[in-house]
Amino acid sequence: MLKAFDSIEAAQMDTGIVDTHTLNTERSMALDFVRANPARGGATSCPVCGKSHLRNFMTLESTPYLRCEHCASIFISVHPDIIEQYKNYEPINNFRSTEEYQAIASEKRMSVWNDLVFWVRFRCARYLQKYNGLDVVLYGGHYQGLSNNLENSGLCGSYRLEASVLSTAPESASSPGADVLLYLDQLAREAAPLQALSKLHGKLKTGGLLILSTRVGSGIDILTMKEKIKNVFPYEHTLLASVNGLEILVNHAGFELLEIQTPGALDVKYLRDNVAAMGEDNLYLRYLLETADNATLAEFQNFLQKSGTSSHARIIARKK
Amino acid sequence: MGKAMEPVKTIVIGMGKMGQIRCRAMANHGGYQLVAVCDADPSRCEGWNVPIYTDWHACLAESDAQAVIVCTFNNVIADIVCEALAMGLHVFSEKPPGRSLAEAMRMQSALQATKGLILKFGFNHRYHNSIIEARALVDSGLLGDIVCARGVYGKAGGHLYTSEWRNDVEISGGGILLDQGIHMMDLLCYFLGDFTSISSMVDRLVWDDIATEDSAFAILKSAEGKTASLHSSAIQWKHKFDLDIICTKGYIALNGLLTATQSYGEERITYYRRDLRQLTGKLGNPVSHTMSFDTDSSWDYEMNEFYDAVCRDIPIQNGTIEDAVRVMRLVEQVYAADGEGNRQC
Repeated sequence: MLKAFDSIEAAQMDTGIVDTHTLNTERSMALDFVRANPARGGATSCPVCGKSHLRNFMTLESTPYLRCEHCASIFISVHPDIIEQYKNYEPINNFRSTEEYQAIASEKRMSVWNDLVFWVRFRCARYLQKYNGLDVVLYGGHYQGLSNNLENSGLCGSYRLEASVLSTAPESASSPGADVLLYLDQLAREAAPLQALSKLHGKLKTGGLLILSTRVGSGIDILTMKEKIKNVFPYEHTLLASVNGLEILVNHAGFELLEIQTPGALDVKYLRDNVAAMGEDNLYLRYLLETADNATLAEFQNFLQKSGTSSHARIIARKK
Repeated sequence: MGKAMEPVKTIVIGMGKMGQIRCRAMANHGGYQLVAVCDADPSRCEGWNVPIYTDWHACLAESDAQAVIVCTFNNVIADIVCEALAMGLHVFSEKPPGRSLAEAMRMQSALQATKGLILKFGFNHRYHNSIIEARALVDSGLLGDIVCARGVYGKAGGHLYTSEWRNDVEISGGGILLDQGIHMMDLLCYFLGDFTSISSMVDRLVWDDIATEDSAFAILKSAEGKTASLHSSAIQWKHKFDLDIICTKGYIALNGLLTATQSYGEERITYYRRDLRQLTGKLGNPVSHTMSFDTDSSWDYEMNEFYDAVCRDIPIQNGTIEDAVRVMRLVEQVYAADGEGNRQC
C-alpha cells in the first residue's frame, strides 16, 4: 500500500460545510426512529475485525456505543435489519429529497465537491491511467449537486446513481461491473460493514477502484468529545471504523488497499467552537484551542490530517 | 544470446554504496540470481557468498551471467558497458552515462551493434513517489499544459569534499552538475521534453580548491517554448530538492526527497488549481493538496523494469540510451554555454 497522507489546506473552511438547522432536523428525525427502534445490544465481537475485546465507549441518546480494543473502531450493537429499516425511513429520506435541502447543501458544499471530483479524476489517472470515459457508480448518498458534478465532470463514459434517495433506478447487476465505485459517507450507517463492502466488490470489474470516505472512530473529535459531540448520532453513525479497521475491512472484502488518508479539514474548528463542552480531562487541548493563533491551529489541523487522526478517512482500494 | 529465463544470472561490478543497494533490490525482487561480484577493494564484496573478483574484465569473462549491473566510478562505466554488450550481456548501469557525451554515444553505438539486448541507466528519481504522482497528474491534463519548470537540487560538500573522487575530473568527468544535477536535468526532460536553447553559469562559488564546479545555473528552452531553470549546487548547506511545475491550469510543487539519510526532508507533492475567481480563498492562495510519502521504492521499481525488459520483452521506459544521450548532451551544453567555456571552471 502506498502510504500517502493527503492534507488539504482550505482557505475557505472557516465558513464550514454544515448547515446547523439542517443537521438538527436530520438529527431529530433520526432520533425519532431510534426511540421507536432501540438498539438491543448484545454484541460479542467487533463488526470490523471480529475480535471480542469490547468496552463501553459512550452513550448517545440512550444508545450505547462500544469500542473495540483491538482495532479501535466504535459502533452500536444493533441488528442489521433495524439499520435497513433506518435507511428506508421515509421522513428523513423525504427531507433530504427536498429542493430546499439540496439547495442548501449545494451552496455549502459545491466548492468541496469540485475539489473532490478533481481528486477522483486525478486518482483514476494515477491508478487506471484514465480519467475520462470510465464506467462510474455513485453508491448511496443524497446530494444531487455532487451527483451532477460527478456525472458532468468528464470522468464518466457511463454513470449510475444507485441505492440513493435521489434515484428510483434498480441496482445494477454485478456483471460486467464498474471501473470506479464511489461510496461516500455511507459506511457509517452500516451494522454489517463487511457484507456491505462485499456487495460493492461484486459491482466492480476486476482491477476496478473503490473510493470510500467515512467518518472514523480514531479521529480527535470523537475521542476528545465523546458523548458531548453534536454531529454524531444514532443510527446515522452506527459505525465509526478506525483507520486500522478500515484497512482490515477492505482487505477482508477482497480489495487491495492502495491508499488511505484522513483529509478532514474541520476538526480544529469544530473543537474550538465546542471548547466549552470539553471535559476537565482535556485541559491541555482546551488551553491550546483557547490560546493558539490561527496559524498554529492551521498547523495543528495539518498535523491531524498527516497523522491519520482527523475525523474523516478516504480510501482507494482496487478489486483483486 | 537468447532471451533470459528466470532467474536472471547477474553480476555486479562496483560494490560500494550503490552496488550494495542494487544487490538488495535484486534480492527483494527475487527474479535475479547473483553469480559474482567485483570491486577493486574486495572487502566491499563480503557477505554475498558468491565468487569475488577484483578485475572487471575477468569477472565478465569468467562468470556465467546474463546481465551485469555497473556501479563503478564514472571513468570505467563506458568501457564496462561496451565490453559487456559485446559479450552479449544485458546491462544496467548507474548514472551518469559515462563522463561525457562522447562516452554516452559510444555506449549507444555498442548497443546498436547488438540484437535484442537491454541497456538501462539508473535515473531512479523518476521512480520516487512524488515524481510518479506528478507524472500522473501531468499526463492526465487536468492541470492543463506545462509551460515552465524550476528545479533546485543541492547538497553540502562534507569536510572531505575536496579530496573526493567526484571532484577529480579524470575520474568523474564533471562536478556537482554531472554527479547530482543530472537527475534534475533528467526530470526536466521527463516533464518538459528536450531543450534546444541553453544559457548557463557554472562556477566555484565556495570550494576554491576543487577542479570542478560547485554550482551550476542553467536556463533551458524547448522548441515548443517551454522554459526551465536548473540550479545544481554543492554549497546547499541544508540539502534541498525542489521542483516546481507550472501548468496553464494549475501548479505542482515537489519538495523534499526521501533518501536513506533523510537529509532532503520529507518527500511531498502539492498541487494547486488555478482559481482566478477566488472560489476557494484569496487570489494566489487556492486550496492546496499535499501528499507526503514514507517509502522509497525507486530501487525496486528500477530492478523490476530491468527484469521485465530482459525476461518479458517489455520495452524500457525510463533510463533508455536515448534518455542518457539526451541528458549528457544537455549537461555538456550547460558546461559549454558558460562564459568560462568548460567544466573545469
